[in-house]
Amino acid sequence: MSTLLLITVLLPLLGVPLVGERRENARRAALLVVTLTLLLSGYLAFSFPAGGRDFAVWETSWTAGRFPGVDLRFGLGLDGLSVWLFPLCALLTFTAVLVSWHAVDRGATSFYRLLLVLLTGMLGVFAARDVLLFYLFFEATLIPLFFLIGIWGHEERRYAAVKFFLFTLAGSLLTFLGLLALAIYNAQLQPHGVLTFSIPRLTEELAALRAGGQFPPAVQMWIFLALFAGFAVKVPLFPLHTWLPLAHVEAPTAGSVLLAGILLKIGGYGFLRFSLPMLPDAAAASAPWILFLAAVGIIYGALTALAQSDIKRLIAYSSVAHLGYCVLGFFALNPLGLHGGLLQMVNHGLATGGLFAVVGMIYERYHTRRIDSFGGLARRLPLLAFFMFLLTFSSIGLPGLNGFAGEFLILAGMFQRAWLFRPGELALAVAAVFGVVLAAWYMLQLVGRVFFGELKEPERNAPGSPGGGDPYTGQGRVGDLTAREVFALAPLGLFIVWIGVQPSYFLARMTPTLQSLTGQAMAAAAPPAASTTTPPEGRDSPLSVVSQGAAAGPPLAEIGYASPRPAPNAAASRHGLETTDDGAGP
Amino acid sequence: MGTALQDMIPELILGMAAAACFLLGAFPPLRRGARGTAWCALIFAGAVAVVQTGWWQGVAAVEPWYAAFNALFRLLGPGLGMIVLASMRADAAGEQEAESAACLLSAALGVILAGGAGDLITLFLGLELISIASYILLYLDRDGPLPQESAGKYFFLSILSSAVLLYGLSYVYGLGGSLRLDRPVHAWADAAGMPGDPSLGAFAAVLVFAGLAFKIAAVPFHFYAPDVYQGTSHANAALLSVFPKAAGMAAVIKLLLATMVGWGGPFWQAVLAVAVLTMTVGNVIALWQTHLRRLLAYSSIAHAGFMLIGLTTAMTYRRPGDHPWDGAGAMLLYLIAYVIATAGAFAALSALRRGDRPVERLDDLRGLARSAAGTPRFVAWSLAAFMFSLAGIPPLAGFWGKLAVFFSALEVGASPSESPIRSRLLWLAVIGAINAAIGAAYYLRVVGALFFTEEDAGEGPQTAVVSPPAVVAVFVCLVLTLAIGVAPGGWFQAAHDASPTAARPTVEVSLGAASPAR
Repeated sequence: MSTLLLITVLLPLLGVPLVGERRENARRAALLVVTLTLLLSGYLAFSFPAGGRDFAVWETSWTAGRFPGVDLRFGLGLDGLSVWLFPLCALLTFTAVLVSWHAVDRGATSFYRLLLVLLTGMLGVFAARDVLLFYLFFEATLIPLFFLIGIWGHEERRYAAVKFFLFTLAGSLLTFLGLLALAIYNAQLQPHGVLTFSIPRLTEELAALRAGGQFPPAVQMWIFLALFAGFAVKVPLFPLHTWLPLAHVEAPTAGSVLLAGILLKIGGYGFLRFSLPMLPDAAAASAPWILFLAAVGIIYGALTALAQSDIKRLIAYSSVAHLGYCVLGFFALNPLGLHGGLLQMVNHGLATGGLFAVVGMIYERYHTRRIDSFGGLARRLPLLAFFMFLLTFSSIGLPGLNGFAGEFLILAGMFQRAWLFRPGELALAVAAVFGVVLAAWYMLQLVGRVFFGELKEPERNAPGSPGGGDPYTGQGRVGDLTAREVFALAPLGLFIVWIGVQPSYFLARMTPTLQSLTGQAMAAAAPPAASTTTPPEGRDSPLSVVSQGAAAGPPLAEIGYASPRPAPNAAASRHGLETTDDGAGP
Repeated sequence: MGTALQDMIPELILGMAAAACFLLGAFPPLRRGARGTAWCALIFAGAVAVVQTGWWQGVAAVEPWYAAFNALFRLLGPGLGMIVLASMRADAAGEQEAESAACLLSAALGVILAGGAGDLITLFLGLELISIASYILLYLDRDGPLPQESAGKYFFLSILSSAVLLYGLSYVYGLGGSLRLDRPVHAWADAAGMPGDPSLGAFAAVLVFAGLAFKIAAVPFHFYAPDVYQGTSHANAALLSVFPKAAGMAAVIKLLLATMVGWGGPFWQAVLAVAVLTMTVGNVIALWQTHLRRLLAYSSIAHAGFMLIGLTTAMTYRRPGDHPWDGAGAMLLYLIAYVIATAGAFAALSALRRGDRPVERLDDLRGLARSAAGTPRFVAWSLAAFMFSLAGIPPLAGFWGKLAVFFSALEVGASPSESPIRSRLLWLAVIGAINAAIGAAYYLRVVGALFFTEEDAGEGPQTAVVSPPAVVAVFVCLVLTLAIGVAPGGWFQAAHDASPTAARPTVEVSLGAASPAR
């Protein structure tokens, strides 16, 4: 398994030379490599045991024994945080390759090579078990994406590419300082003095320092702010989101799919991987204002989306709102919210990635994305309309599809937090619910205008000329989805339904990791008065609700009426490092 | 002392070859031979330096860091010399070919001497070899008013800086009573053990740093760089941006960190201010540049600032090295990444030509990455890699340099101790990070010009690759940039071994004078 993980991460990079000079060879080779990666990553993810924590760990020293005082590893591994995001990278790249099949006509070789490099970068980010390796992969995703946007994008591509790059880099350099500061601070207080960059070891040792009172909240807050700079830009959290609509709209379809589907997740993943486990006090202390920003982002994103006349721009703004939900879930700092936030990151990748792909397909056919140039497309393109409806319903959280599971858990978590201890935050929870309504409004309005009503298609030129006719048949009439396009969307649809009907399967694999990593932050967030409302042991902790539910039935069955104090650590640590005691015993 | 002579083979070869090239220049039929002579000398010197990498092991008389430092610069000198020589175009050098080659050889020799200097006089000699060689090189390009002006400017400012440095060195000798460079000298204890005046030590440190700040192009001694770079050729600009920087950093490390340990007292705060100003001025002004050599000149200023982060840290804080990123080691690692990327970028520019004139403005690079031929595309991709390396993006060499300097500052800045210098170094690191982001903006402009614009078809001549040796140099630099980026361990080790501060015992840190290490 461990070697398999290493192979999976490096496979796209090794496949780069296979991508030949001619366009046909290039895209076939890219598809082959990405499909293999997808199968391997899927195999890894579905072999992940329920209740497992560290899985398929592959580690080797990076300094080759040169510096005994430095614990720098080339370490890869999966755990509950990354287990679903990891295969999602390959899945969306698979979609990205297929949607670019005809859309990329010049420089196809470079395009597919960059896509493969990007895939290695994304897989590496989620698999990295070392701070520096994480940052390395994180930054390394910037270069291919910069080129993808800047070369193959639309009219404003240069500006969009540069703005995207600089925003991300400026934030992530501060994150980098924060990560170094964590390692340095830890090394100087540990008796062994070893400078460790290993994420699990660092988490464990910092928790021990904190338990010993050597990691005061003031220090945590500084480092938290440094980390926040990069992750909040990446998420993006209001008001740091301004690069997002531009980059998403100007990027080629493949770029938008991956940007929305994967790259935005790195921010949220960073919160879960670093901020919450390593800086629990600061996370708990700053939760109110981060929740506020997330709620503002939800409403702002939704209202801005309502005002858009360009389909792609509308979906880009909807991303701002949706990612706001994920952050809302994380910083509700209770098991419901955390599970919901993490699940919603996967959901958003599937739904919004798919929506961008569909928009790309429409654009390929009509060479415009203006909402008012379309009408009644459901009649002309029934198959495309079917996928659009599915993705839209997933995006607005229709029960039975994946979006519902995620959003419901997030809102439940948020209400639980607000209801029990923080009446002041009730307004944020209500705003988030209002955001759901707005989301339904703008998405259904979009679908209604474009796919229903009178058939209205943009003016097209003669068949065969640019913008004229069907690009594949050369006929005057625009055709429905081809088999290739169905292949691009079908896997997304499959998972949208699967996660919708059986979220427990996916949640169960997150629980032990979430529990052990965020237990301290949750304990820090619970006010002391909460202990009076703690129900008797045994039936009560929401964490146990979720994990029991995961084993035995839908986790949504029993929610609420419990304090968010985590249960004593019940994680079954099958692989690798022991779980730390969360210091939150009854 | 046969052994001693053997150990000096690279220096001797370069020196003799430089003299030979100057002589060949006097005989017109033989002038053509100069370039070949220079190549042979550089390759041979480089090969001997590689073979002798471990010459010092087992020589008890020298401190390990000092010998490793020497070995590192022995590789840097001929290596950079070859890259710059490949960038010198045969036809562009014209009839001054012999003199150009000779100057290059003496500059390479200067780097080795500065890196290996065991006393003040050798160090000064090494620095002056570079300066004098560059005066001649700048004057060789004598057509047009701009080269004249830039050569004159460089000449007078350089003389001034040498004088200031020399004045400072006289204090070093006067206070320490020794010309030696390889061990700490106590400023305030004379031969009889009588305490001297500590303020004189700080005065000497200020003078030495001011003199060297010109060589490394640190603010406020940077004003010459953009004008001089703009007024000369790509190859000369390459020479000016890597050789004085390398030798100057070697001198800074040897004098301020290894010899004058604890002389400066609170002077480190001035170095901190210079570091901040240098980074900020270089990066911010570079944002407005459209001339490529001016842009790279400001970039070279900014990188001096990043390296000074390491110097600031090393002047305030030392602990026995159990990791590779102490202040001086960080400077060396950063220097290596910087010189490879910068020399590579200039080699790439000198490989190109647009019609009958060199590629000088950002617009000249337009659409290079989209040309039909493979070689221009290769040059474009390599240039992009150098830009990303200079911007510090992983997985390229420049990232590890940035990591090292930021780490060195954060080691104090993020430590749990209540040291009074803590917050200053913390802010130094933060300002450095912000500057790295600003810097990326102008590097991206170069990449954007290469990749994101269409070649303006039809109007004027297209940019083409004309110099195969320069392309080879670009290839070598690209391989090194990638190799260091992917497998940095050996380079960490080299920088760590050569760091005078890594192996020393802890020195107490204070806002005032630090007490000497021994």
